[in-house]
Formats: sequence, structure tokens, C-alpha cells
Amino acid sequence: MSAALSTLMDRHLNRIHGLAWNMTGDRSQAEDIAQETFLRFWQAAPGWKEAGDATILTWLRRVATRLCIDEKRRMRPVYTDLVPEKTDPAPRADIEIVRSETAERVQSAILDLPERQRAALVLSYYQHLSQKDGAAVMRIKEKAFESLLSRAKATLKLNLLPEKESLRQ
Amino acid sequence: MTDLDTLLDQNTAPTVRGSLPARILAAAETAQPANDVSSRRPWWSLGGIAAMAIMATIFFIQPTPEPTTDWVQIADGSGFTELYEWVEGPDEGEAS
Repeated sequence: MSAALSTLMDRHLNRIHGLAWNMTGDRSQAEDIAQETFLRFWQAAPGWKEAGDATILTWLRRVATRLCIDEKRRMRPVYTDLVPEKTDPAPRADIEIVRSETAERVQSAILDLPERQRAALVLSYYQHLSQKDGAAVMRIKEKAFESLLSRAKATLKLNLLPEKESLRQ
Repeated sequence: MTDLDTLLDQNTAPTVRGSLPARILAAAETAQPANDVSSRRPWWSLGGIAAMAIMATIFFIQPTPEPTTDWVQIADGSGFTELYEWVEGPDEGEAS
């Protein structure tokens, strides 16, 4: 079973972690959400034997999005105590990424969006989902997804491109 | 590509730290699958609930006894007192 979980993480962990990071803007929180998402899948795994990879990924994205949106679940238990501390072979975050000021500004603007608009934007832009697939992840109609995305883009344009927007008006 | 797309592209997520998969696998080992056979309750653990349900069913399906009719009063009211005593009363042989 752990081999199956490893394979699943090889395929999808980056995407789920990326989704959680785009939604929360916090690396530790994104890792916790990714962990919670895969654990939930593992707990439901016996019922997923016949599911295809696309279905599994949709389910993983749905759970991760739900966890990000749900404020209460952000206070879930942290599992780090279960594992002894090991030296992380990956470079430290502060050394690895020197984020540009623009990137920080963009992330801040995304985090200021209402949660459902943020989810639609992240699924569309960063997960590269079509409106149909994004709507399936959020369990809403395509029109509703389109509306959320449109409002998110309008807000971001106002906050990130104020000069150009004011010239157009 | 619009200006907004260009801006959004700059905000890339960091890579997954190497310890995360191991952390998830370790947590998965201690987590019990929700629909695992071993985690299901045995049937007899629900015996108490079943017994209560059966008792409640028996209690509610018992027919309510109809109120007994006071035939003495009816006989008196309709002037058949003597006839009633003759039918229901003790036999003359028994009385003596």
C-alpha cells in the first residue's frame, strides 16, 4: 500500500503542494494541507481501486482546495511529531528562493481575494484546468466558475495594474 | 499573454521539500483506513442498540385494551335489570 502511495505522490504531490501554496502563501501550511490530502486519500483508498488517474487527481485537488478554503481545518493537528527530525536534503527555503518584489506583490493580491475566487484563479492559472475541470473540482457549475474567475481577474487587475486600468477608464 | 498573465507567471510555487513524502508515508502508517475491515465494529457491538429497538417495537405494537363496558349500568338504564341478573347472576342452585 505504501508503494502505491509513493507512486501517487510521485505523480501528484508537486501539483497538490503547489495548489495549497498558491492558496495559502505559506510553505508549512501548504505541506500540512498536502499531507492531509494524501492521508485522506489513503484512508479512502480501498474504494478507489477502479478510479482512473484523472479522477484521483480531481479528487485530490478537490480535497486540497476544500482544506485551503475551510478555515477551521487549517487548525487541524500537525503531524510533524510523528516523524523524527531529519536533515532536509533540499536547499533551505530562504536560500532556494529569492522571491522578487513583484512575485510577493502578486501573491499578496491573490491572498486578498475571497477564498472561492482565489480557488478559481489558482485552479485556472496555476493548475491549468479548463473551466469544466475547475468547476468539477469546486463542485459548481461552469458558469459559476467562470463568474468567480472573472471577478478574481478584475480584482487582480485593479490591484496589480492600477495605472493601466485607470488609463482605460 | 496579457499583463496579468505575465505577473501571475512570476509567482511560482516553491518545490516540495525532500522530507515531505517521507513525512506523509510515516503518517499514513499510523493512520487507519476509514473503511478497512479491521476498523469496522463487530456485529455484536451493536447488540445493545438492537435490543433496545426490539423492546421499543414490542412496547409500541401491543394493542391497547378497549375499555370494559359496564353492562350492569346499561341493563339498569334500559330496564333489563332482572334479565341481566338472570343471565349473569349466580344460578339458583349454586346460591342455595
